[in-house]
Amino acid sequence: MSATTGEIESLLDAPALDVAAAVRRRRASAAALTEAVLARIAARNPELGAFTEVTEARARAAAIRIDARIAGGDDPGPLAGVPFAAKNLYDLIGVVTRAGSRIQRSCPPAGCDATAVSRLEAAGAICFGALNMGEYAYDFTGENMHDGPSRNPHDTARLTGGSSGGSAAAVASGMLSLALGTDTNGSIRVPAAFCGLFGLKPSFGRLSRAGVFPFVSSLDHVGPIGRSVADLAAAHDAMRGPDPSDPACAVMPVPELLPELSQGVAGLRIAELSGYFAEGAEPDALAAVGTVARALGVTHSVEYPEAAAARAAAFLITMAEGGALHLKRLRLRMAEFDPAVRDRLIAGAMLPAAWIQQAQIARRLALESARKLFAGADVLLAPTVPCAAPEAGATMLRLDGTEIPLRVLLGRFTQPLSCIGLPVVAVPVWPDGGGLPLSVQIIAAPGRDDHAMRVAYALQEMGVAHAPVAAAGPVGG
Amino acid sequence: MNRETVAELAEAMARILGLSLDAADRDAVTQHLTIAADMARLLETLPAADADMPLPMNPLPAFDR
Repeated sequence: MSATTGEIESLLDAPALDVAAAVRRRRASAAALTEAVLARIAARNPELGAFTEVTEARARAAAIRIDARIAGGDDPGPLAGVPFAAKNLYDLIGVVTRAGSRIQRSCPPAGCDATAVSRLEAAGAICFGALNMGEYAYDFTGENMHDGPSRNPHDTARLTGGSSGGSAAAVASGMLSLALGTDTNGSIRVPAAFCGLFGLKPSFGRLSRAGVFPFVSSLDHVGPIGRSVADLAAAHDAMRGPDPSDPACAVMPVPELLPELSQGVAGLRIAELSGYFAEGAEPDALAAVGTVARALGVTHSVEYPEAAAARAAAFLITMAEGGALHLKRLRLRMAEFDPAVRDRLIAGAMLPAAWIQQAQIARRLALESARKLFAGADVLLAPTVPCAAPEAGATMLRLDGTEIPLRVLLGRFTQPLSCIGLPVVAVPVWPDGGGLPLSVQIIAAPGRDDHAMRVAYALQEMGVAHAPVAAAGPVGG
Repeated sequence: MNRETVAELAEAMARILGLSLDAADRDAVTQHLTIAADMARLLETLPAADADMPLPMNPLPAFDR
């Protein structure tokens, strides 16, 4: 265990599985890695606002346990020593689950960890704390009026995207190898896109949400954000499995993803989504899909005609379920909400039940239509976001000469897919000639997360998609 | 739908729900309800949107079940 400081620093910029391999082969100690991670957090977090709480003692204790297990000849797990943290929507024992809010800070600390956190730790990963997020996860920007914004490591004058903005900032800056986010309407995929990272929103019901503060229970997903597809697969594999504490969690065994990646894309029928998914975005965002399609040799496109209705359904269900969830807090502590979140929740609590029932019907029809699409294709391609990361504080985006509210626009391409629970991997694609990252969604049929991950992995192997650690200094000030 | 009508509805619904809206909240809530109404109209464009079909509480199954 004699890695130099330089070797440790290189490891922290490498994929999570390289970190684990180095720890398991005794090329680096978990303790040394942990100190290096804490030093990076101390150096970079003040500018980036990624963490809301750093659990130093917990991380150091975990590192000592891992090193002791290795010294004793035990296998500490496939993610040994991998530094991760969780959006502050996840319970961490001894930490108050803020859910991005001011209100939840008056709650007692969590008595146990969320299932996803404890399973990652059981696989050897080391938890470094809680990450910044949009209030109650009702956010696509990564801004938070209580904790301050998370800032995009590729250009600190730009949005990280949300609501898992701290998760993306921490991984893109190299403070962490992996982070946990949640995705109700795009909250893993949008920040992964703006920060140039890979993000996995698994099939609905694949990963347990137990111990995660809810937002829209019928739409909420948990998942990892990372700098390599294999890292996402390894994290998924560690977290998978039934959990009676989450009533939506699948009771059947969930297959591993990591062994599937090397199968490549041979035999997979891949198509580009046209129509709704080929408009309503800046040219570069649409061009990123073309780049991926060309690399995969895709010449076929298909239309998902229910996309707009699926998005509308997601929009209404989110408002209504969110409004109902927070109604008591709105009555008692309205002034403590971020007004931008509060007013949407209030409106949601007022929606006619008939609209919500209609939205549920639309959702079911949209799912049935998607299943028909997947009879002719295994994997679909679409943009993740309609633009590269906008400037911090932006509220409008000009598209085709029209000013469009940014918060509404950012979920245009992600909402229709999470609404029906499809597995999606967001892959980062960088424009020719430099600039901020864009992103493409790799979408598969329900339960076929392996298909989406195989394509994402192939794109990474080809060099079409990649997720470098951002330079330590700010680009945009 | 007339904006003032929506604003009056928001005011009345707020009272029913036990919420108190100031002018800024009322304007913002009115705007969100107007967007929601547009979304609800969009749902009506779906063929079979008015079908009488059985619907579980959560129409999204856990796919691996």
